[in-house]
Amino acid sequence: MKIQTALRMEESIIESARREAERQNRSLANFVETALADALTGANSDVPVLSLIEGDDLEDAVALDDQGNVDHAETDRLLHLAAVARRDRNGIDDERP
Amino acid sequence: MTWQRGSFIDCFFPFAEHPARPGPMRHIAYLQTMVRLRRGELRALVMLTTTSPRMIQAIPEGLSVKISRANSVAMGMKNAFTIDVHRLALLPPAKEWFPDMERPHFIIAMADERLRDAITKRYDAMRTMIPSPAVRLGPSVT
Repeated sequence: MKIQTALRMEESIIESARREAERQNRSLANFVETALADALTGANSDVPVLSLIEGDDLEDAVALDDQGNVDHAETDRLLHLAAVARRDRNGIDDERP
Repeated sequence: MTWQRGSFIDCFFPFAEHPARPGPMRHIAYLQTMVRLRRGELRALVMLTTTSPRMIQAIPEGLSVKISRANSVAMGMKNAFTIDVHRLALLPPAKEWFPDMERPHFIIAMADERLRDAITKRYDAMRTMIPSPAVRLGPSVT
């Protein structure tokens, strides 16, 4: 859902952002949204990040090809990813007071 | 509607900090594969794509695939972008996460075999760079 908001910011910053957005063929709103999202996405991480739905268990999970058959090579990749990835299952804790 | 490996699809990719909540804005994601969990539920394993220089800079060396503007346009998209092979999400195939999943234009573009191979090679490179902790190397027990 989009909302409208008003912020007082330095004109020079806004002008720079507008120019950069134009250069990237994007709207200023989209450019600002992306910059904010970047800032909220977290620190750099060399470790892969795998976002999972709470309660999802990858034990016995299998990767499927486009015909719905089990793809063993892809399943191996998935299980490796599950073993090494940083998983922020408890991210919701961030919102606790 | 079909879920096809190698497709680029619109997705409310979650912030890592809030993995169970759809992100606030659409991102084009790359569908690596569908996954079936033990209880039979399906999930889509998607990789983040980004146009943000800051996010691109944060990707570890060797774990990104850059798509030039020309190649992006050839696939039916507009701008150059980068696939972040090390930022993934396993998401239910539901409208809450994939808002266009019931629409005809759900699949924005398809990667060709060459690009799919390049992505899979980077994904495999990650396995070499970050070995699984389940593999124990050390003196054997006799």
